[in-house]
Amino acid sequence: MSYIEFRDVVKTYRSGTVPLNALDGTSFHIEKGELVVIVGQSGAGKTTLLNILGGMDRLTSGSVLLDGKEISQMNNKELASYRRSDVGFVFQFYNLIPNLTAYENVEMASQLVSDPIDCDTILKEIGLTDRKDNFPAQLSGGEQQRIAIARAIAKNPKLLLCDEPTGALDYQTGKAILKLLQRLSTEKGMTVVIITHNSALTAMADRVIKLKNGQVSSDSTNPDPVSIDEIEW
Amino acid sequence: MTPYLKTTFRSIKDSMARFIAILAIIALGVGFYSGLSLTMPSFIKTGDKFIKETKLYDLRLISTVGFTDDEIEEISKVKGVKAVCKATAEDVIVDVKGTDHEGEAVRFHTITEGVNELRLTAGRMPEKDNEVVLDDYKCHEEVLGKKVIITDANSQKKQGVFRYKEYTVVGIARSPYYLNFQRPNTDVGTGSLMFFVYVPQGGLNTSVYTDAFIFCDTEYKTYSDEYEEFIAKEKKIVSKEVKQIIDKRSQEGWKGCLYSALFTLNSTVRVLDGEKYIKPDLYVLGRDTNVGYMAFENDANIVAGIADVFPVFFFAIAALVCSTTMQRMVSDERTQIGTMRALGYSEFSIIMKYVIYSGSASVTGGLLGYLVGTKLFPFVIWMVYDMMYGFAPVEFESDFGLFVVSMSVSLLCSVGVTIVTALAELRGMPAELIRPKAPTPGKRILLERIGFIWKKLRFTHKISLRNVFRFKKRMWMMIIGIAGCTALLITGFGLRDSIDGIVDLQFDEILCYDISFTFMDDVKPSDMQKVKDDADTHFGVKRKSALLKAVNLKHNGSDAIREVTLFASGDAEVTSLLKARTDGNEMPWPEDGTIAISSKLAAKNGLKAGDMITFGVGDDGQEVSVKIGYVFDNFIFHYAYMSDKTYEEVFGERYVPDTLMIGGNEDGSEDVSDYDYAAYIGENDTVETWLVVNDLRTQFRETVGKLNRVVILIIGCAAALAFIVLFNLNNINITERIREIATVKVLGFNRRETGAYVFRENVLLVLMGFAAGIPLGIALHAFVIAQIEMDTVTFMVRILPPSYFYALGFVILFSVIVDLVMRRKMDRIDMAESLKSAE
Repeated sequence: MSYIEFRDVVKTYRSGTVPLNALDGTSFHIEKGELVVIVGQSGAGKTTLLNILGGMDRLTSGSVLLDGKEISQMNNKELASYRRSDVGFVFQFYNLIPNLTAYENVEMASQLVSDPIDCDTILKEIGLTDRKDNFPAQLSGGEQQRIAIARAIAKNPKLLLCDEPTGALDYQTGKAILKLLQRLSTEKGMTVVIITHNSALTAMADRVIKLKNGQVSSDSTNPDPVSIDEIEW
Repeated sequence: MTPYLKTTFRSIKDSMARFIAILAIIALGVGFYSGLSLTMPSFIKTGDKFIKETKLYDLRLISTVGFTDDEIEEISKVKGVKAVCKATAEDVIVDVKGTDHEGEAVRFHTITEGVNELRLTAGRMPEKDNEVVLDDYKCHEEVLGKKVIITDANSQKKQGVFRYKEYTVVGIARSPYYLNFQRPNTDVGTGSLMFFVYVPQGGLNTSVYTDAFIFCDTEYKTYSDEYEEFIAKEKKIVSKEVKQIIDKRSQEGWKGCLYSALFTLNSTVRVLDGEKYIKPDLYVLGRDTNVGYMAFENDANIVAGIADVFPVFFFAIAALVCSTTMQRMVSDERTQIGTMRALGYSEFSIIMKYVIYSGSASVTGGLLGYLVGTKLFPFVIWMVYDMMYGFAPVEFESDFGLFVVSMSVSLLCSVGVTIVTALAELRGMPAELIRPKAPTPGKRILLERIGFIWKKLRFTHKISLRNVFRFKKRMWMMIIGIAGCTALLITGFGLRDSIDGIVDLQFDEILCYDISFTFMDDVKPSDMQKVKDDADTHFGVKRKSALLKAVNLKHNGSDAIREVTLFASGDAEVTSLLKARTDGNEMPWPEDGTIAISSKLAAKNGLKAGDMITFGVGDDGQEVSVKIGYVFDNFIFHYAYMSDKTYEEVFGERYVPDTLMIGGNEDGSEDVSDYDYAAYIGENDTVETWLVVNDLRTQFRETVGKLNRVVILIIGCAAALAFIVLFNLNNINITERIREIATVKVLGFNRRETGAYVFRENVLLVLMGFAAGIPLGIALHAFVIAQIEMDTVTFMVRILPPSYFYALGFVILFSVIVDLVMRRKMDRIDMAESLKSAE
């Protein structure tokens, strides 16, 4: 069995009069330590998929397993503890707590789990040790996103989920962020899932999953991922 | 519908909680303000209607020689007199056969026509002379058809006054003459009248009618200054003319009726001003000597006193909350404002959206508040008063001016603030507005500089502390809001403390006697003592007693003329019946040459021990001056004490006691009821009147109880206000931090932790607000006490410790409820949705 299993997942939204299947029988699997890029156009169901995988939303039918744990059957409390100990999130808009310093934002996450990674170590890792006492408003977008990544990995999660992590950043800064994510995967063996609409990023992935209308249109492994430095778009 | 209106209405729909919060707080503010303001006018209107419809007398004539039909005829021609009717009353002991009214003292009034008309509540008016109507206040429909029997317990002479031995009850009615529940004292039976009986003139054998009631049918509103002025003039005219009419008669007719006239006078006047003896003559009395009439105005005034202070405070809090909420909304929608400007909407039309929003909330709330408040408050408080009055259903007064004022204030608070805030936001360029405003940056707080404390704090506590100080405006608003509500609650509970204890204190710790007897003139002190010893022997007890001289004095103070009861005594026992405390110490009976006066009298005139005080004696302008020896604590009425020697020195006459005060049993047992004991002594011919202190106590407890119920109503409203304030502030707090809450949820905070993340700072703010509310509450309490002060009743300015706890309890309870509601709201926050947008 794979590290992550997505089996026939259907997610139906009933907001209007017509039920909308954001995910319509989606199936795929991810192995431990892989860097996965999920691509697809707007409305393909990328974010829904990530929300379900991250325990932020429930599915309508199907099942999702992480490391043998069934996520789709969890209640709210179990989901909270799943998010707490197993998943790290990185968002397009960093969502740092504005009145906590960079260090404290990371510390806040690390205090939630029993086996966190030392905050100072992480900050050193992402190269922001000298900005640790700054508040988010005093940091640039790239710096904020790096803090957000640090916050996500401080919990030592099994899975790092990134939703358009470079969406709000300029080209160079975005590249730096992706490089950091790639390094986490190759050097630390972290399982990283990146959602993007930028197909150019597929070259850096171990596995590429293409979504179309809520279904997997292609699922392929990349035997020879290139470094982000070599990708241009 | 244009998209412009759609966005406005959708704004309302999407933020229903906020819309309703504004609406509710305006409704509460307007309702409380207008409701309480109109309560007294509504009561006066109710009283006015009833008094006019039942034609309550404007002037009451009492002649010790009685009125003849011819004289009545002549009086009816006096200028201003619409109707006049002679009347008399007779107190007697009766049984109402087949009911539990047995051996009760009642007062028979003759039915008057064109004045003091009865309002039947059941049955019909008497048609025959042996038919009567009973007091609706004390009797119920079960008495209809029953017989009122003049019992043999009455003297032969008394029985002779009544033409029949039995009277049939044909109806029960309310009389304007008895507006309230109180029935006067009497010299028959136990000394307290149980109810009144109205009988046709032919039902009594009386030939002399000592009373004549005049009805003037004025259009002036009852209790108004115009009425007072009118009646003062009319009184002069009537006095002059009636005096002439009566003087025409020879002095022959006098003698036979002297006694009963005296009695009638006594019973009326005594209750009001303590007058014990009045020389036989013609008296022209206004309604101000009618107990019910005066009590009604006083009680209405109590509400008015409270209505003066509370609503202003209430409104202030409402305005504060309302304005902050609107400010919040405009700031929240700044991106939208920018978009609309970029699209080319004018500033005016953008602002109008928010004006419509807040305007419709406050107009609806204001209307609702006014309509409900002006009905609810008079109605509920009237219900409270119903046990005391209840002579008619409450009439609602309305006041357009008041409506306009309260609406204007609420519009100012909502629409006014909206315009100011929106204008401030609009000053930015559209491009600037479209970009999201940078979130309030985090800042280090003062506490962080104190490293040894800060380092020890738990991480989540650090966040809360920083958050508290991060949103300065919200912090102040929360603190002010909670402080205001706390102050209201403390005031409410404190009022109870101030009011509750005084009756017991007065009658347990100050006036410690149980019964007082006034003897006829010329009764020797030794005979008084004998009467008492005889009663002791009869009942087999030994009660404390003292002999004194009671004198009614007038003190012409800077602000008012006060009736002061002076007790002069040389009896060593007197200090065990009239106790007094001064500066927390027991006060001795004043030394010769000095007088002790009660606290209010001293305070109102700026007098202290060592000063001289001057009293007026009687009606002929005689004055006496004496040095103040002590000022003692006292809560009800005004008293002065002096020794017998001082009395003789000051008044220049021999000290002869006329009053016997009876205290409890010397051994502390409670074998004999005060009423039995009083009735036994009252049998003696030498006793003129007596007073059982318990009656006085009951009467005051009723008065004070009324005030208490009004206070409870206020506590209720303060509580409602506190709730809305808390709810609204929390709602704002959560709405503006949805992203933050979603973030911590995503990070894996569980439900409890997420709640704590937000509410910990609330708890801190609530506690800070509460702490700030304590001094405010103490000040407001003192202020309100000063406002509701009555001249004859002194409230203690005190707030007992439990009251603070109750107030805190309420604030905490509301916080918890709001917390629970808000937790549900937080549960519904969609993490994915909230974090996606740039907002």
